[in-house]
Amino acid sequence: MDSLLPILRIFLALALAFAVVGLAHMLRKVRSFGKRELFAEANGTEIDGIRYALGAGMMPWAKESARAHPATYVAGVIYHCGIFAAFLILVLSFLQVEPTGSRLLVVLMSLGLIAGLGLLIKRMITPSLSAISVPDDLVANLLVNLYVASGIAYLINVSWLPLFYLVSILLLIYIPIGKIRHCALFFVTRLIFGRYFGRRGVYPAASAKIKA
Amino acid sequence: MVNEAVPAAFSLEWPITQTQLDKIVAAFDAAIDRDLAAQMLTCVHCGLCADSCHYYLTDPRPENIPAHKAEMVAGLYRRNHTLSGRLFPSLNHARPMDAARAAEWIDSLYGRCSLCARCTVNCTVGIGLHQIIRAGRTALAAAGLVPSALQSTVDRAVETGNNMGISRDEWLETIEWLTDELRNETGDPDALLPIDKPDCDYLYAINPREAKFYPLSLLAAGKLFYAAGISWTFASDHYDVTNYGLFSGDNEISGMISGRLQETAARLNAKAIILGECGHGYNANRWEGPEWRGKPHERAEISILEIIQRSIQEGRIVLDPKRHATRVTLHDPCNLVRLGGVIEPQRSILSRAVSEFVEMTPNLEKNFCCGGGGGQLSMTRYADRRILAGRIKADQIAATEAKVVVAPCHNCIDQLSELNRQYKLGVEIKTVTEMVADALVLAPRSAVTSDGGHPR
Amino acid sequence: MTHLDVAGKQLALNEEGFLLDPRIWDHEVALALAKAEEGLEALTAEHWSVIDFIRGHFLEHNMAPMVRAVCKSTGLPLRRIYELFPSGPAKGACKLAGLPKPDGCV
Repeated sequence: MDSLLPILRIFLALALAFAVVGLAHMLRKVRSFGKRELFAEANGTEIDGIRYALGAGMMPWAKESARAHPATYVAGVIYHCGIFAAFLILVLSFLQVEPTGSRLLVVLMSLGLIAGLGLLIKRMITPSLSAISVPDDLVANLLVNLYVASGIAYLINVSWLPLFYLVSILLLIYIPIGKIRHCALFFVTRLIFGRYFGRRGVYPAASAKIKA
Repeated sequence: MVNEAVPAAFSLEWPITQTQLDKIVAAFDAAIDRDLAAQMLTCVHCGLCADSCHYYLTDPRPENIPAHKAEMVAGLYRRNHTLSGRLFPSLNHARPMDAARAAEWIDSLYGRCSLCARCTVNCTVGIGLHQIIRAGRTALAAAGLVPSALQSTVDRAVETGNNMGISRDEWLETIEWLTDELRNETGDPDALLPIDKPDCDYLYAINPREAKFYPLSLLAAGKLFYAAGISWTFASDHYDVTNYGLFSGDNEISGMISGRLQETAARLNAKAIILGECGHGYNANRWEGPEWRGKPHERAEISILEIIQRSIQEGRIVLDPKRHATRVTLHDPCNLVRLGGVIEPQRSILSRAVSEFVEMTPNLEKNFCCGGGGGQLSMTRYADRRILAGRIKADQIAATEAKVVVAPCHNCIDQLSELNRQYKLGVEIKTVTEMVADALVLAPRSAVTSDGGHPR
Repeated sequence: MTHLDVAGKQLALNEEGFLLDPRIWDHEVALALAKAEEGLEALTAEHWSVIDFIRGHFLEHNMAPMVRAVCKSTGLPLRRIYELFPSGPAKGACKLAGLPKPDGCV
């Protein structure tokens, strides 16, 4: 197996490059539609709106959708923490640095994996959610879960590293193709949201107003 | 929970031609800018928007989930503008446009959405779902697929200058009549509802519904302007604050309609325009108008709420809150508050005009749509869905135990009146202007200068 | 879509209770609409004066009249019109007079 590693490392680098180039191409394509010049006189500032969108607006209490579904919100946060931890492991191993504090990472990633599986089950058994689900949702979730799981396996026993690399390669290739592209677009959309409601004087103004 | 009275299936009213399908695609592409493109690639189908939508909450079927509606539109973008959408269309519902798809668009985008944007502010990512849905409407409008009752309201405005087809003579006669009423109420034989008076500070734009069927709110505004000594005028031709183009999706027509107020204000040399209590009219004229027209407004457009608030703060009008002794609550029209940013004036006014004010829950930018927006009020074919979706608002109102619901939007008022009857709420529904006019303590005549200008 | 039974005949109504075919109308239809749509068991002379004026205006101009014109021709004060027709002049009086639903925010 170990003889495969150098080759997998090359493919991993290529897959990473594919993901980066794919996302860059996607963003360039998006930009090619052009920025619409705005003419209405602003009532608030875009920067205040953006600050809200990336700050207070991300808090669970800022949105009823998060408040009403605390389990989903928490699962989502833990899921993403697990994914980022796995990514950290991947980068470190690629740079041939021994991960330290691996026990903590194992716990974090395991929780993330459980959350990921939980969200998948929720997607399948909740009628409203399964109704709006597409194959992409399943593929992305399974790939990510597999990726986190193989990362955990690698942390427990280094002999699983080739598998971790293999899954990572597949995942990286999939990023620009499916919904995981939101890793880049999330922040773009947040900025758009902040600008839109910021200049209209809705955020952060409304959040500061007297509540019932 | 599912209401059997609401048909799940829909029939193809129009035989949709290939030419129309091509127009949908072309108009949709033309409506895309980089912000919209980015947002159409971001949805992760978390499904948390479902509970934010009054349609879904009252009729939990997949078609009513905001993400379902927006992704229907975004799928066309992915199909035509992404490699993965072209190569693996079934992976992410990147379906091409065909007659069946167009029919689904019509039913969902026009028939299951009031463009209230409540899903947008509750989206975990912050995707402008309402903007995506409206872009879909823009595409349908280009192909002539706007539901007929909505289109006829737009056409009526284009052809006659107002969306109810009121003739100039009818308008002038109504104003003359209201002028007599104003003189009776103020006891001032010189009190006036000016028409086409040049060089005023403000041109006042109203909802034609007021002139045609509910003129008491016009009288209320006249009384208030009179008391505050505001220099203002009506126009004899273009006085309509509404713009149903916002709802049909036709940006060219929308821009033309919004431009009329600016042109009329220019003709009369009014310094600014007061927009009457009309939620979508505020959004369409104040915010979207300049974007449709591709240039900034020459004359500022201000909500009448801001004028009233200022008049109170400057001591130009005095209110007696004891005149409204019962409990009062406030409805936040989506287009005025969540999308318009006019949040505080109505609250500041009511705190001075009524004895007991309670907020609804939720309120402000998280408030629920009454269900009448998005052109729903005009689209008879979706009336059953509209009334059903309005149940959320009815429950909200009932929970406040208020006797009076104030709604700064005539569109909302009509829907709320129907909800009032349908759900037996037993409330009175009023505009802010009417509440203020009823609480107005008329100052002695000498407080106002003889030309009706500002007392300084 | 629902139907209204009038003297053995079935008249089609749209989703908001307006007559689908505004040409088929008489006092019996108005009475049936008043009962079904406005919860009014009987119509008084005041009701009829409003309804007949609106109907006549519609036949002549193919449009609902201004509420001003209704007041002027019937001699009724405005607030009385609102009392007579609980759903208001548009969704109440015009509906009973057999008009199609007016355009606009109604």
